[in-house]
Amino acid sequence: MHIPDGYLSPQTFIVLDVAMVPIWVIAARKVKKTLKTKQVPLMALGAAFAFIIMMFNVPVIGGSTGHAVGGTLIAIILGPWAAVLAISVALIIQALVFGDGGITAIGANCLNMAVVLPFVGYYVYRLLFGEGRSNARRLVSAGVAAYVGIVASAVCAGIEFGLQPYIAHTAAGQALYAPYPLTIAVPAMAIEHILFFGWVEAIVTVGVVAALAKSDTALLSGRPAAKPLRWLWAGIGALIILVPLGALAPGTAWGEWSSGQIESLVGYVPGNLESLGSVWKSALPGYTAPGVSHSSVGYLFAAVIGVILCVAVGWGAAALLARRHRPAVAGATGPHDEGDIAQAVHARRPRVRSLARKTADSLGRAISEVLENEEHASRPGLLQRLDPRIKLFSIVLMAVTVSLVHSFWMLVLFVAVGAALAAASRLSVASFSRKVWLSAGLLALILVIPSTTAWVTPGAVVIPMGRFSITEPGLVGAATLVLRVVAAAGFSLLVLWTMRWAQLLQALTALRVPGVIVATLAMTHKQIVTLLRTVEQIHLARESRLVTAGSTHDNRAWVTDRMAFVVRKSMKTADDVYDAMLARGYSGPVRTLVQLKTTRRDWVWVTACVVGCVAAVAVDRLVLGVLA
Amino acid sequence: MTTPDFELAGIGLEYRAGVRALDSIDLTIRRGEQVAIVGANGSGKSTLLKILDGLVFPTSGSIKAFGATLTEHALEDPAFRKDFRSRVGFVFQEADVQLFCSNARDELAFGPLQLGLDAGEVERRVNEVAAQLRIEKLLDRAPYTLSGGEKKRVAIGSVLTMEPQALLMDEPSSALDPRSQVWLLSVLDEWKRQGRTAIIATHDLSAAAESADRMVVLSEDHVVVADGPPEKVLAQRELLLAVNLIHEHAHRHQTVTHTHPHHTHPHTHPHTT
Repeated sequence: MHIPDGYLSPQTFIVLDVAMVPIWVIAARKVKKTLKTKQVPLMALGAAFAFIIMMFNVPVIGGSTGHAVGGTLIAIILGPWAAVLAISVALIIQALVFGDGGITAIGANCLNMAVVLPFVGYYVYRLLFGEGRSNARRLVSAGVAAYVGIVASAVCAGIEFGLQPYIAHTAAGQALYAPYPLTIAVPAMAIEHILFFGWVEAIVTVGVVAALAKSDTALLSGRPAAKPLRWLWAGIGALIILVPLGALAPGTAWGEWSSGQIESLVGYVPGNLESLGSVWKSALPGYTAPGVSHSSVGYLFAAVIGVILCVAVGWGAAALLARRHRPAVAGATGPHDEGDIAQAVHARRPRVRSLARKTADSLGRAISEVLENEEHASRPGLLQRLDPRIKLFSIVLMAVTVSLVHSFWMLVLFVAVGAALAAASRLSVASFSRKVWLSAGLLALILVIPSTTAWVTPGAVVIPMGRFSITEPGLVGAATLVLRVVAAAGFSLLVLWTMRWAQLLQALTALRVPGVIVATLAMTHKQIVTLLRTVEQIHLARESRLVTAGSTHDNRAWVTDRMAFVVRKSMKTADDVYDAMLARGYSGPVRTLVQLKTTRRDWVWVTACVVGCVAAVAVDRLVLGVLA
Repeated sequence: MTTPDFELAGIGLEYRAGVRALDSIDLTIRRGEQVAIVGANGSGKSTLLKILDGLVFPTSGSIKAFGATLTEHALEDPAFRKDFRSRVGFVFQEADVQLFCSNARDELAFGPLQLGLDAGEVERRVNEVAAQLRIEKLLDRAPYTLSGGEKKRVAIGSVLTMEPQALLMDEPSSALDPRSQVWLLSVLDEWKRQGRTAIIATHDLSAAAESADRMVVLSEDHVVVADGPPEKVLAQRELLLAVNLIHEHAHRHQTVTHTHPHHTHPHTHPHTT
């Protein structure tokens, strides 16, 4: 569900990036109140744990495996506000170090997976488990909560994707960003998670909770949080407002193949989403203006409202589920291949190697990636020599500019600029391009193929195939998206490959990011590497003693058991690290030694970047825009 | 006579009812003493060090550090905390726990910075300690790229930059190769020469005998069963066997097989082939 760079319009990602700031501030305050000075190590280990959970391959059914986010699980262990911070830190590190999820899309990804997911999951869990004592009830509650949480989160991502065609497209109807409207994006994301990733999430959560419940119930007692009842009433209130709105705007655009299926599985949610989709249309007409126009302000507003509604619907669903949902029986048929291709590709990989070997391999790759990044970043190239603040600013500026330009040729130019910068920074242009085109480009290509048809993008037909005729705006839109994604991924990769982690932290400190956050990021990164090594060893140790592949059930039990081990180890390490910090005089604020000095080279560079980016947008709008 | 660095009277610690980690420990440690606390795994050595460092607080008995009573409450006072933390340094057993910064330089600077020293002084100390421990080349590297021995050096350096009076070390020689162990002994010698206190928890009797001038033995019942100069403590073979610090060692010399306790019985055999 990690949204890469290039799929979201600047109106969307800037709003979401900015929207996350107050959420983080509130979360930091809440966490500080309950955890006091211990927050740094606990958050760091929570984040490292969140990161590691996302790396495990979980067997689901029939040989397919998937990755979980573990958001509900972390919220159950740490409480929802602490989970917001822990998962956010994990996602930020994934984006900045491992290139999973875009840098510009950090806000969107954090909102979906670090806010909506843990909150919906946590409150569904509290609601179902209540003051219960029975273990069976605990497990069922955790499973249902995880399932509902991830589906709510996926629906949010679907809404963000689905709003893009309304926000920006050309006069010819060609999409500039993610090409699918709400009526396709939301059901695609929802179904995929209802049928597949919801189960992965539930399996992981139930498995780890079960393993922890055997020995460490204290970990599951839940840290103090706000009263769930108050939120429940808020959710019901939102539903009450929603239902008449839905009645006023009867929509028919819901994907016909899925409506019944979804309804039987989650109950009430789709009905409301259906009306949601129509609410946009009836409330905000006139989105046919070319490019980014005044109506985008309305959509910006709509995006924020949409996300708020989405959370409310999640809580509403929780309320209903508390009464209706019965322990679910596995009915998944395998991964659904629309939308979340990044995860589905993993999920569909044929099971040739053993599960343990597979996970150990991916963990080993992650470790070598960290070391490789550090190696690239210590070469004496153009970008490596810049002040880290200037570098971060200029690369992010270019990534944002990529999302602002619309014309095909300007995007081609940016792809070339990325490769040129790689060369000037003494990176291998071949491996740079391979990485950018094969990971980001190929995924985008697979994703956009259906959007070239008349069914999604009407217009002048190039290859007639009835309803699935390929249209000209469809093709141009697809090409634009792929180029944009590739260009943006290139700039992200430049950050990963030319910025040493310690430098990045220095830049953040110099930019006055609070010491507590920087310390948490630093510690998380370090603990991730340590934990990765441990977990890799665990998998290799299993591989070395494994004779038969084992049943899916056994594998699943083993994986969740190991995850529980990682939880315990993380929490124990958090205690030890906290002691080690106290022993060296730590008492709350973190002081660090930063000596950053900008040189003339830095200022020349940043001026050139700003001028270049402004010129690029101007040329794009004034010259190439007229031609298009 | 100067105030002892640490005075422990009747220290006991119970994690839960019935789960005891330490039992009525009386111990006075004077300025400049080199104390080895030895005991089998689980005897409470690490816990005792954590109590000395004000990280864990005893459930019975009292502890004074540099003449002032050390309690959780006392440590909440910023002035007292700063004074206490700057006087006592703790090298943890696992270097991975101790190294939580993003590079070795930050690691060495962490302690003095938290104590409120100005940047210039911190930098001076970092460079001085790095030179002393010969880790200048490691300063800009991330902790996870260091080998076990290098990590230990950085961990020790991160404590030395605080210029403490008393140094607590938990199993410092574990995970060290022979060369690094020799290096560690030279660091401890230098420490001793400066007249500072060192308290080292270990189950490595030979290392303890080499660096310490006093040996405290913890039994598996978590009480102090011996306290004195290393030669005298090591001579009590029955006791060391009882606390599981040594074991009967059997080996064969051509035709003769004999047993003797490990560690305490230096002897040579003519090994002819």
